[in-house]
Amino acid sequence: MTAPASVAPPVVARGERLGEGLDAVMRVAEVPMAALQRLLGAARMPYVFILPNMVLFTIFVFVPVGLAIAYAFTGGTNLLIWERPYVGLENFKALLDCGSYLEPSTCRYNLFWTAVHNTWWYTLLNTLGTLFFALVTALVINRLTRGRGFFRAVFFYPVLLSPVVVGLIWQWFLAREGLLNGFLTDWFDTRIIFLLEVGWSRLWVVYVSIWFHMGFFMLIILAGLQAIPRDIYEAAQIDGTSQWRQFWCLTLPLLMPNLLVVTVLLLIRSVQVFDEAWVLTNGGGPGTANTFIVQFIYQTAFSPDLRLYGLASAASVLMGIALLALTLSQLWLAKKAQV
Amino acid sequence: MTAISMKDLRKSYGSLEVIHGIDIEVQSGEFIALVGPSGCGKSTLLRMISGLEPISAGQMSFDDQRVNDLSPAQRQIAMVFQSYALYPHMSVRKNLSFGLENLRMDKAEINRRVDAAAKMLAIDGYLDRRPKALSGGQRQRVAIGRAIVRQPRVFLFDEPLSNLDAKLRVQTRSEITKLHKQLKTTMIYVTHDQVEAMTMAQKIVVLNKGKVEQIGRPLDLFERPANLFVAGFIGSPRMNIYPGKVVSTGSDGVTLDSATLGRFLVPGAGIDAQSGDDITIGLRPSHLKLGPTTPGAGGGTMTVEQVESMGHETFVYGRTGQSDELTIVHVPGHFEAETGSSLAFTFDPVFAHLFSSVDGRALKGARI
Repeated sequence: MTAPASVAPPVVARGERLGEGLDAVMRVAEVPMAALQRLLGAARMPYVFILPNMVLFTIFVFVPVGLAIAYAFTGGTNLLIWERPYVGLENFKALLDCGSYLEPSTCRYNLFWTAVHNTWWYTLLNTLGTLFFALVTALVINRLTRGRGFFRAVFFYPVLLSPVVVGLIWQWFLAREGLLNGFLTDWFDTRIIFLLEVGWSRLWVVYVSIWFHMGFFMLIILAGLQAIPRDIYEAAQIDGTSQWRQFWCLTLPLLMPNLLVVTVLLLIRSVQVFDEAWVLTNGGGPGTANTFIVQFIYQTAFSPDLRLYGLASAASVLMGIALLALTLSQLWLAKKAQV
Repeated sequence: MTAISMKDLRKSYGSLEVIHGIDIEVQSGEFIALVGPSGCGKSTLLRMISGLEPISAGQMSFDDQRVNDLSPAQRQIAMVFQSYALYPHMSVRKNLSFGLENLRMDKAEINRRVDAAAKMLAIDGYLDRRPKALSGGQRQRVAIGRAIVRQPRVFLFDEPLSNLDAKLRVQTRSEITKLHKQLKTTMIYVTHDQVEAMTMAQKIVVLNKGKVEQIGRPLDLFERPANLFVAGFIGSPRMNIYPGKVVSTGSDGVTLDSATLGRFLVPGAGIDAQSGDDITIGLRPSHLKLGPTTPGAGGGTMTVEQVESMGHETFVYGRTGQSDELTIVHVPGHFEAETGSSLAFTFDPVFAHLFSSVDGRALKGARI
């Protein structure tokens, strides 16, 4: 006797059902789109598709930028622009009014120039430091035959954290009663008030920034390293090229487009430093040792006893011009460095 | 000039062995080609010779000097890569001189060598250009130039022509052959293109699945393939293969019976076959002729499936009886036939290759 054959229910793959659902949605969406295309013509349709993004971009980028520029030419403490008097270039003149730009105390707004000086040093150290460590890490990870994905993830992980979280974690680590001081007390019977000494606090602000952002830049450099064909190195090996010369004469020049992108992104990010440094140093301390330009803008505009929107906007415009110059230099250098 | 000796050479990746004990002797100044299908291990073997790939077991010697543990530079070889592997950010001149600068050679000597190589390869007009400003053929010549300036003991070529168009390939082929005659340096050339191997090399090594199937002069491989693999690989289009049976053996040869080709006598003494043995019969397309079978000859009929006419020659592809493989007939000049039409073909049994149906080894070669 043979067993009765069971009738299996028809099996429909989940992907297939999803595909059918999407087809149905597309059929519905097609009706107004087809009508719109008949009305506007096919050539204008791409503009229809980018319209939603452009609307959001206009509301959140173009309008605020325009407003900031407009505010920069006004004075007083009123918030609404039509209630603010036009002062021409007065805010810019005030910001740039200095005995010597190298000595902030000779400037009318010495806090602005202290912030500029602090930002300049931070940008220099942060850019060089991050570039160096990201490059070294990428070179090491690129040579790994095992665990490359794991280490790539480990170094990239801090990038996923919120700047405030990063600031708080490191503050807890570096505080007077923090983990590091606990270790120093136990082993060396000493204690350093890292965040209240000018030199140490500046060093840690740069270090935390490198730790926080290095993974992102390391990934860009790693992608560049992996894009260099392996046979070029093999040809160099056959040519008897030493490891150091391979790095200097092959890796570095071939990596230049990536290094350039990384450098300019780092410069831009460094100039914009604010959140993690603000949290880590409890508002730019000790004193004004870690007060950066963005913090100056923020405090000038929003401190209850200041509310100098015009001055803050003028500082924003000056910073915007500096960033624009950096971006344009990136485009120019990238074009020049193309192999 | 350097002689190369490979003895029981093996390569393993973990527990996976990909080169299974290879023995090859390359005479000083010889041009040999390593051929075989994709994945046969020819490029791996070349990289083992170059020193780019470590040798797992066995011995490699250059002029009786063991080189297993020497770096590529210490072996004094030069290699031309399939992708050219030129340094993209350097000028042609810098590409040529880079290796010599590593040796801290005198600048005047570097310039002399670079200029001589550039002149020899007709790239002296492009010395200040970067590789991206050159055509594929010019890049290939720069890659060869980079090898020449180092005056190496051995030249290694890893499928150097596969990125070139057909016309340039033929031209560069003859240039490399000319170069070998001029330099008289030992050259090892990897290719999957048997036409390249047949036309350029003095000796061909046929590889399959990490083993040597046969080593010999190009015509030896064509006339006397050692087994069915070599028979199928060397010759374009491939050899026609038919199953058959030995009916009788005698001093004048063996009489065979084949469902496709009929009964015929293959002349020749000492053919290693017994009555009743299953046998595989191989016939080159150029040895089949269209027309009815004549007494003493073998032959059959085929249903035409495709006709490829190149003007000066035509290949007719047809199906014979139950056989899965198409029979290919080479017809000199232009020839036309309707698809589906029936054509008779014949051959002189003296041209038949015989192989054991058990292990594929050759029992008899064929006269051309």
